[in-house]
Amino acid sequence: MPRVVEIDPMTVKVPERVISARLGFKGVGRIPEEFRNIFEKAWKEITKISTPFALLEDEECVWNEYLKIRGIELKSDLVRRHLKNCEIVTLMAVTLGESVDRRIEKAHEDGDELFSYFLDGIASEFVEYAARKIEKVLRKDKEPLAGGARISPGYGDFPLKVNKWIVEILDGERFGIKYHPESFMLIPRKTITSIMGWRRSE
Amino acid sequence: MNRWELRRILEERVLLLDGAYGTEFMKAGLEGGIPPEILNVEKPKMVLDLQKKYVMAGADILITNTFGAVPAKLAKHGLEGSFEDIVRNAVRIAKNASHGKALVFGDLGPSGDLPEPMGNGNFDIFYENFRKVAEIMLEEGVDGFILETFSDILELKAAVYAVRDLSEDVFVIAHLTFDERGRTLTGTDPKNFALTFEDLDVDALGMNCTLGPEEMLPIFQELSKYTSKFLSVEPNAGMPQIVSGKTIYPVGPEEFATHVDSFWESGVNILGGCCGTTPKHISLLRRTLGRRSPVERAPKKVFAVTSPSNLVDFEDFVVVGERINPAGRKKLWKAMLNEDMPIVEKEAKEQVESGARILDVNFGVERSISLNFAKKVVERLPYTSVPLSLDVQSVDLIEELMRVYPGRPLLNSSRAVPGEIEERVRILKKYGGILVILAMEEHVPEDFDDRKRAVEKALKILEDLNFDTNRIIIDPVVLSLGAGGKVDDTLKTIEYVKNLGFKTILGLSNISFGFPNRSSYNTAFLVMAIERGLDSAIMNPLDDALMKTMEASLVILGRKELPKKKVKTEDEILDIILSGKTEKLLEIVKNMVNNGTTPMDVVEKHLRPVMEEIGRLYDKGKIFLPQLIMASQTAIPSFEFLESKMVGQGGDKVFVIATVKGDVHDIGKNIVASVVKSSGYRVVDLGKDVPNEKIIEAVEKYEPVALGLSAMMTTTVLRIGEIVEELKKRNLRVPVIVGGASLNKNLSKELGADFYARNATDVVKYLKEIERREGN
Repeated sequence: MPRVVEIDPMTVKVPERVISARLGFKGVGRIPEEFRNIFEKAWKEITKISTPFALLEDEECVWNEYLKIRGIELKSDLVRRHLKNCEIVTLMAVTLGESVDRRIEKAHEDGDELFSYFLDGIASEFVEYAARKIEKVLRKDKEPLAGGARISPGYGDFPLKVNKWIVEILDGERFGIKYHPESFMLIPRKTITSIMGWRRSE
Repeated sequence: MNRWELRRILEERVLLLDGAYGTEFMKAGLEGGIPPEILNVEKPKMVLDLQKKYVMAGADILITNTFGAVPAKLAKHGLEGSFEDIVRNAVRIAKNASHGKALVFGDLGPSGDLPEPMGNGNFDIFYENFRKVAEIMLEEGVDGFILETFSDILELKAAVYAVRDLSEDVFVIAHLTFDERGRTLTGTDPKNFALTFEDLDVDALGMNCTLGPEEMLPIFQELSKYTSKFLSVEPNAGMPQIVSGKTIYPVGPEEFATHVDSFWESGVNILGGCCGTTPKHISLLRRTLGRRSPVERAPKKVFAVTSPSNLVDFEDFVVVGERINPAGRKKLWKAMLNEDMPIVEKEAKEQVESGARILDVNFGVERSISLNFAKKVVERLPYTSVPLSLDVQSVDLIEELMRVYPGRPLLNSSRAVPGEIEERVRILKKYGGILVILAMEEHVPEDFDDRKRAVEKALKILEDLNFDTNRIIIDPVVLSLGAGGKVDDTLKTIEYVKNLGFKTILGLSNISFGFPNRSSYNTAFLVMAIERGLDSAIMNPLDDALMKTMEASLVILGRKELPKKKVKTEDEILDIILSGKTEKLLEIVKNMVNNGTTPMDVVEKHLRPVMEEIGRLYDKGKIFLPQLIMASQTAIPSFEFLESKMVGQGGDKVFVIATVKGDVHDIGKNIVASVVKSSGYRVVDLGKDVPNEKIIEAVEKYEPVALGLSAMMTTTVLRIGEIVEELKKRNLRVPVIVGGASLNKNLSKELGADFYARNATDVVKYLKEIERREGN
């Protein structure tokens, strides 16, 4: 049974510059005035309808050539490099919930492509910053163990297929997190899975 | 530690630099206006204590307290006499603080002056200053150098050469500082920086100061896209704010550390802090960074030359202006002998205004020209003009000029003669640039076979010299008709060189040497050469007939877009669409129709040209993606209204689009659908996660102009190949345009797609191309 951590959406802060860059305002650093209203409306909507939470599960590591968790060997050089010497691994899924997908879809169906685009861009960064918030808490909780990078399926040679494995271990379906059976993309779309390794500090 | 050992460590893990010095010293009581470097001799314990804190915080690399220690800068405070002690002590203090736990890098900051014409500095002054500091630092045994906060590319180059001329075994980091628009003070952007420095013998590139981590990230990401060097970054603790007369840096240690992942994902190898950061910032960076290895990057290769604020790639045909050449031009020759810079600048300006994107610079009888003047031309002209092609014969002069060139030049040229190539390659390896290789050996080529043999020989020599052949462009050599030159041999050579995958350049005017009415011969030959695939020509941009015919040839051959009726930015409809006034636009469109304009004419003469202009504004970076989406959304109701008035009148051009099976991301597809719709097409949007069969059925049913497929992930791109196969099997001939995060041009080709679109405006361009080909 994974640990479930609810995240108050009002406490997730995403720098405006980050959203501005995500939306394509390259090199501007902030949302231009003519888009301020739509940005604020979309931001409000995301904070209102998203129900962010994290599923967390710690697993012991067994190291041979590759890292082995629950008898499964993660044959990825990226994992080997980043989780080298770790004793424990945290498997993590963070999601904003299904209502965000539905709202983005609805705006598209209504022909309001711009609003749909703003909702989508903000939600992408929102879920990333929600994950960072959880990561920060974990780093503190795990002390004196030191955490490496948080890496996600899809980076380098760490295949997307791992989403299936993480979602199953975290019993994701029970909490509304699924994966597409062919592409292993996550549903709801604004969901991030990742793993972090913990090792003794040098 | 030498650079090779350090490079091995950096392959394995990301290292941490220390934080700010100046702002910390000020907190500890250093008065404003007093250079912090004086503390190295007057209060060394203050420096030592701070550096010890950085070591305790977990910094892997300490930087010496010498940012402003170049003699020219110290002289402004009357401290030039203490220069040697300041520098020597700085290294000793840092070594003492590190106690073997951190590496010590010598810090070189800019001299405080800009090169002419913006300031009073020049390459030689910069170089001498940096060399003096670097010499002492090397004597004291620094592990590496960080050249930071430079706002000009020439000064940074001078610092790099100053260090490299003293040691080839020391690690060198080179940083520029960018403003919020992503430009340095003298106009260089990160892509230009990456390409210019890619050729130079530095280990890491990066940026620091001016901006906080948030502002710096997108600029850093741009640099990361184009360089294969290690990457280094030191943001400020936010953008400085003045509160009650004091400078405050608003980003605290915790917030600062939240940006670690973003920089790491963007490929950082060395991370630290600049103004406003503290030991606490570095300590939290250490905790967040942990011991991670760097992410792998696959930087893009771009064939381009640069000047400080211009980058010219060879994707479009490049006109190289030939007129800064005194051959047969007495007035210019006299001006060069008199070191008359304004005349040369005027020649440059006229050519650039007429369409030259690079300027060839030839000094005629080189021994008659003063070295100072030649250096001044090459050092100054690129700041106010475009990149240069250095058409220089003497090896000594080539070296002098390449050294002071502020960017990445063309070096024109070398024959396929071993010694000649070898000398130029030695210079290019040190100073950067692209080499023009002539398809000739010692003697003038008589036919195609001579040229082919010369190219093969040159390539072999370059391979033996281990010189990157992505840095050459080949001149197929055209000889004067009067001297019996056979045009066909040159044209055949262009094709041969293009088939080898190299870019081509020609000295066009040679063809007509000694002939009357030269312009006609030049023009006729240029058209033939363009038809065979020529990429660029050294030619006269002031020859209007030549330039116009060249433009027309490029359009006819599909290498350039048809010039569009210019839509002025003050155009009423353009303004209305860009400001999102949907109702107002609809009202204007309805009025037009009511007043007798046919709906087809409203589309073709008014809306489409404006939407095309908006597409161009987006492609040029003049408007942003949200503005493009808003413009499309604004125009769609008007197109729908006009469509309803044209039922049964033909002109119903359908575009079918879908996100492939397995793919649940559709925002990109939705944007494309919207932009295509607003360009006057009827869009059949099949949605996301669409099975192959449904897509095939839609093609059969609607017989579209083209099929658009979007695939985001590596797990779904293969669907494209399946769909293309099935279309072939069923003999459905429809062009397939694909796009999505995991795709690129090559992969799209492998999957059998006809076009790879990077964005929505690409899709519209391809649709028009398809229509043109089919004669619609």
